Amino acid sequence: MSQAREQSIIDEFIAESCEHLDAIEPHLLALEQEGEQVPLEIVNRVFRAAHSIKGASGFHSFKPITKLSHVMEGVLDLFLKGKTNVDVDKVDALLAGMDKLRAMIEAPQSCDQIPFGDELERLRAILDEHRTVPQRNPENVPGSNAEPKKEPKAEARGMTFSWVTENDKATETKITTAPRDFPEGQGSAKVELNVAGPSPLGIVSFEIDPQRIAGVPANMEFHAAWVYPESDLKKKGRSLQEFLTQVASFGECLASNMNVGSASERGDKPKNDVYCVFFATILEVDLMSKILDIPPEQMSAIETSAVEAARAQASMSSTRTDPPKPSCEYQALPKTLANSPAPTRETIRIGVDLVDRMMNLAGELVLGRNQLRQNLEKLVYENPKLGHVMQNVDVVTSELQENIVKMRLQPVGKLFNRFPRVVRDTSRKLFKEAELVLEGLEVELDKSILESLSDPLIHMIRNCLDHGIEPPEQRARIGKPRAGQIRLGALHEGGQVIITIADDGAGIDGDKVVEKALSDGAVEADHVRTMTQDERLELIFLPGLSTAKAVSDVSGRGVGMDVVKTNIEEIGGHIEIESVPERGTTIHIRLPLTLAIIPSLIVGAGGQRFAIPQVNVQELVCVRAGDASHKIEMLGDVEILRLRERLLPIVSLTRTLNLESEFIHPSTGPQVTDRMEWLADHRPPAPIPTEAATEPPLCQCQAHENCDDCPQHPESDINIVVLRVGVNRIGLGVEELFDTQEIVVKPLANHVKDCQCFAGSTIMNDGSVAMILDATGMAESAGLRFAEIRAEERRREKHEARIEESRSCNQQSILVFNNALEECFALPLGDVSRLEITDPQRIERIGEQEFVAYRGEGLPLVYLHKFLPVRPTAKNGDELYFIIPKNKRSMVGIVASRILDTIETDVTIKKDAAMARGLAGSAIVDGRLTMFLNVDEILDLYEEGEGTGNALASPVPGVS
Amino acid sequence: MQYITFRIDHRLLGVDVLMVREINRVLDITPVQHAPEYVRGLVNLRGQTVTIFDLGVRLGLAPRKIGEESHNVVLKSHTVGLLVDSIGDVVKTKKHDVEPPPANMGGIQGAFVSGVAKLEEELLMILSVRKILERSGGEQ
Repeated sequence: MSQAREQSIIDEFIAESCEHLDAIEPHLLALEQEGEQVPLEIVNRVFRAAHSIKGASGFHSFKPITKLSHVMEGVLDLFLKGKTNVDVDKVDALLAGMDKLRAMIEAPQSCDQIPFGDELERLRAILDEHRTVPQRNPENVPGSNAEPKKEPKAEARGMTFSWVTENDKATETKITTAPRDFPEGQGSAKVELNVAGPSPLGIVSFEIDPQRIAGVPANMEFHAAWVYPESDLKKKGRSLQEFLTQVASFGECLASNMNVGSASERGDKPKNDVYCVFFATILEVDLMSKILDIPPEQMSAIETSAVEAARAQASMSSTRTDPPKPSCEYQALPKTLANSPAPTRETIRIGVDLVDRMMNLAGELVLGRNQLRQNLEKLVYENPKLGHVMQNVDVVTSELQENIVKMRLQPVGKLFNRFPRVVRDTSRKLFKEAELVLEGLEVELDKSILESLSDPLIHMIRNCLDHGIEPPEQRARIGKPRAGQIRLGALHEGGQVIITIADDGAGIDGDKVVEKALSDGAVEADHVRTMTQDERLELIFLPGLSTAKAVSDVSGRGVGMDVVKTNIEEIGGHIEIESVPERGTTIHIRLPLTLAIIPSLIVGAGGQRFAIPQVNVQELVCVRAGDASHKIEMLGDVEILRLRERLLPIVSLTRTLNLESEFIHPSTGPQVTDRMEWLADHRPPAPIPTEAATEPPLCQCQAHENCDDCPQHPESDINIVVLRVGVNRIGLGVEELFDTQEIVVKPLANHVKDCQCFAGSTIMNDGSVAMILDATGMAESAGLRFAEIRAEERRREKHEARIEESRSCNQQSILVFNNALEECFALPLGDVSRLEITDPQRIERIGEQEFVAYRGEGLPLVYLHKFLPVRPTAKNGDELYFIIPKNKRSMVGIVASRILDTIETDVTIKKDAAMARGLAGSAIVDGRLTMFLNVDEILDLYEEGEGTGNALASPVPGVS
Repeated sequence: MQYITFRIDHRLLGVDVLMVREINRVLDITPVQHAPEYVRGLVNLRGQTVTIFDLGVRLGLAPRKIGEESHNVVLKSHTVGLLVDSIGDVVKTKKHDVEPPPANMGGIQGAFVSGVAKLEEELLMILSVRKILERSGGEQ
């Protein structure tokens, strides 16, 4: 049991220390930016955080952590005192130390196995450089009160400590800077401690509440300090109050002989012009004296044993309960510290499982309330008071649920604030300059989403730096500011959170991406040729693609963007990329607010309700039953809707899920099973859409053919939910549309996990279970093949573009090929039906005629050199091309040794009298003389059997 | 050993009482398409979704018709409930009253039966909860 307790204490230590580290980082970076005029406030905060870690680790005796944090503290102290300026190297060293510290803190029990010599040396080197700190062995950091150490200096000056039980009434005043009040009735017995001060002062007596001494953590040591108002306060421009605050921020101020209020305000001077402060701290004398900025001679360490003895004696007279545990120093900070860190909200740590359970219960409470309300409604008439009560319960329940949901939300700032460090380190590594602008830090996201965002964001930011932002010299050359800018922002939009990462770098070169994808074999050449710029950019999400020339520390291994995409999609997000060359790249990530609650559209089919996550819904389309111009059409055995001149594949939810379709008869009411299998309108296509309206339409229920009233009933309309599936769209035909609801996602149970149509289940307001549809799964289940659709679209786009082009500049597409190696021939593409490739081994001969098997028939091959005055076909290894001309007469293959290209050209073909039959003319294409063939004439020649070939018409049956 | 007994048609079946979380009549079952046939659907049990198995189908019999006596036997593990025709008593048996399934008991039912308890009036087939929950067990 005690072990479990110990573990929980250690866990606490880990969590707290990590928080401190998190707090240090941004401040360190800020320090570096500020450079010369470092605001002391920031240094102070860092210092305190480092110090807290040191203290806590000392308490748990994690020596290495204490050691390292102590040195870091020392360096920070140099900053604090302005003894050295803050520069990149020092911050580097500190950051490195911090990282090591984090590693150690995360596994404190085995922290001594983590080597940290390098970091330590680096930090020590800084300390040594500015030898203001008498080098002390960091191991002496107080970790126990076993053997109190004496200050050698103090001894040398012959100071003595003694404790007496008598008061020295002349110097004694009340403690006024007490961070906490004594508990009532326990402040009566005081410990009196007399300390020998510097010569003019003699023995100073402090009156201390023993409770407070007992409350001092074991790792603190007791000190007394003498403060001269003239030299220590006035000259250094601080008031007594400030001095005490300083003391309080580094330890526990236990007693002082000054009445702050009177001393500082009325200018009263204490006896002998010196203030005495008695305090406990974890710091050593020399460090403390530097922090407080008073000479070390004015401080003296007091043996713990002496204090303990005094306390023991005092407590003999009065018994009391256990002393309260001292609170953290932060809380003891007086509120008067004007520029103290922004007021921190009080927080407690709660396990996520507890929050989840509460969320579940709150959901149940809402359901219970709904049922209660239904049942109470009748009673409200009898007892009107019930209405108020119910309303109250209503509001409270809703608020309760809302707030519990909020418990899981955390500001993105928590995540974003890690990135300045990433940018700094990475840009230094890459010798680039960049600044990170953070926006929308207050936007809140579910904790688990935030956590899984971290890696993708780091990756993308590194990408920005590595590939996006140009080196400073280059930027200067092209007129951009030397330092690149990366903007990382978050904003709410329509129930989603959009995270934007934008850089002003070089942008992504779509062509380069394509080139790389081609050489990797990730895509095919003719596929790429028809791609739009956006589609080219999307290639970077392909696995294994990297345009980096060399694998660097930062990137170039190519695992990046596809992992990013997968990660984002796993948490229900969606990633888009846009890039303008020379201007920069912007990446948008759309995320749901929480993983657990998502706004969804509720649809019905087959009497069942389903939820579709709003993220997946692009739009809703209603196909009016009476409107024949916008109808669902059959295309083969699939259904298609023409939506804004694009074909939208329609998938029926009922059919995909094999549900029994339900049809509510518009006039008679009762539900009957809909016998209609397809959503498509089977009416013959209307010749002109406008006339279609007058045509008597078929009724949805086929039992009432040609009844005119049915189409007027909205029940006969078909509701289409247009779903986003990646970049594709599908239309999901549903029978009913309900409203949108915020639903709580419950993962699918083990036994139903394999149903690819569903992403999960949820419990509706009325307590019933509804399934959540998965758009991707639906598309797969319905057998949609998007890649092909897209390819077809591209082909069409390109084709149209080509037609457009040729129309505008009178161009002609030609196919250029070789027969003999040096001789170029061309055919207008319009004359070519197909281009085939074959293995010369598969050519068969009958007599002189060669044939090749093509589509189950023998295709006679035509060798140009047999009919035209040209050189014979070059033997080109194991490939032979043949061109099948578009022809009405006989089907032949014109043999080519190599296909060069298809090109757009507007050359004019010249023909002279000497041109042989079979040639259309010649032209210079791409600087080479190219002979244009006349297919008709060649076929004539072939059929006439001219040249050396046999004058045979095709002897093979089946060839026309 | 104590068993919760229930019936599928006329068959008397039982599971270890320690494996059962509760017996209820939450019969608003949401079907899950494309799921294995023996999965009748999901119900909401106080905010938790419970997968309901049609025990009839699981045992290779006809799907259950939900009637007056239909109940869900919700198991402790895996949040799975078994839809049965009716609920019987909790019976106590002595160890020597339980025998391994007889040799001629094969087929799908045999695969799920871990033993047979000889009660005074009739025989009780004791089902193995583990086998019922196994995803590959029985017919899919």
